[in-house]
Amino acid sequence: MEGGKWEDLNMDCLLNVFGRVGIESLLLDIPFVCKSWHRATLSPPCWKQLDFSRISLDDVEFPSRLMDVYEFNDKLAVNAFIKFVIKCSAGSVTFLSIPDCCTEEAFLDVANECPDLRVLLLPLTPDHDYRHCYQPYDYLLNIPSLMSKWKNLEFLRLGGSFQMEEVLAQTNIHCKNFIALDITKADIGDFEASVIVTLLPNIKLLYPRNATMEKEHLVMILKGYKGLEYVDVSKCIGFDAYDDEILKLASQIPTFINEGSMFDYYDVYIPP
Amino acid sequence: MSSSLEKNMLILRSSDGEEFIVPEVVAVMSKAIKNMVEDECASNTIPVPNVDANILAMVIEFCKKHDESEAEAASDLKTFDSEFVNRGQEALYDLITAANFRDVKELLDALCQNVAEMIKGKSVHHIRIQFLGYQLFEILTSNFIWNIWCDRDFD
Repeated sequence: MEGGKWEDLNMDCLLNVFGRVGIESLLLDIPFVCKSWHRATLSPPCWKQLDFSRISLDDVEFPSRLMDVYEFNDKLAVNAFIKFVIKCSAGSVTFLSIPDCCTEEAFLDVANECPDLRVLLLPLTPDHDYRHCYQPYDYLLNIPSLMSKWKNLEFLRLGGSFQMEEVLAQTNIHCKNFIALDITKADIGDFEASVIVTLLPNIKLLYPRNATMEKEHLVMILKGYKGLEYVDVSKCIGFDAYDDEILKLASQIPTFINEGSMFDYYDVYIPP
Repeated sequence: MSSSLEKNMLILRSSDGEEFIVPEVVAVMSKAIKNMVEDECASNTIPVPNVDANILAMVIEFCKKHDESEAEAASDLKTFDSEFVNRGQEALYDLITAANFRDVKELLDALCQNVAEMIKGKSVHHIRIQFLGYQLFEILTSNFIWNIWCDRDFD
């Protein structure tokens, strides 16, 4: 049999590869390929990057094989599934993306079992709510008190502006290596802008994509930082992307992305 | 790299005896070689057992590119990486083994990422054919897979 040696590939290399393939392949395909691959999937380093964001109770939106096999028809199933996968990782998770149908119990489990977490992505607020500071996921109410569990956190996606002050205050206290904040779809006003600048003085990457904010608030944020390396304000609403003052401030940032930002969302409004 | 660094050149000898002259900065991208150089247990010629000339040349090409283009745009390097790792199973396997054995982290990561992309979303029998060299009839006759196929409703 030609090329059969992939079965005998060095275990470190196998783990390196399997750490990158995602939950779906790790659960449904790789263990059944051959004995050595099955053995490799039992090892925690495979489960370092967990992306649960494709799980949803609304299976019209997310057609995926995981949904077919595990039949997520209620929160209990999701709860058990998340706890099971987190257990496989044995505390080695570094990247985690939370689904919107997560439960409080599973989220507490995540907090307790993932001490080494570097990247945490919280679910985005659904589109129809994006004009409000409304957070529909009640399990996220706990998040300010859980920030202390993730001492190595570097990257956080908030998914809205709900509880921004509390979360960022805790981040400031507990996460010494924190460098990147993603506030996609957030609604940024005077208060939020000043909170970001005062509570996170050391961040290098900022992603206010699809956010709603006025020019003065973006200027306030850009002026408040010295060492920003990457700012992505694409598809924002509330300021003109090619405004002179903004471009001047942005010229000091190595990477500044402002595609599709516009002054008002009525600019693209097409009457029915 | 300028030619004034003549004395900072090393000779790497592959398992089949071919010799490559490379600058020291490039050679020490392999941690294993770096350790040897630092401990001064390496003479001018460093043997690289288990890695044949063909594969060693590829590894050196990769390291040279990464050393030169430190100042270059990161996107250029990305395209180079993705083209570099786009090879057949055989070469990929040999490269991964070499990169792991010689401890060249960037190369190993790029290769593993590529293999992961190849596995992602593929079914068990697809992976078996692609990586383990199974033939289609073996897949079809193996009991395990056969059962799965029989259970399927083909509508």
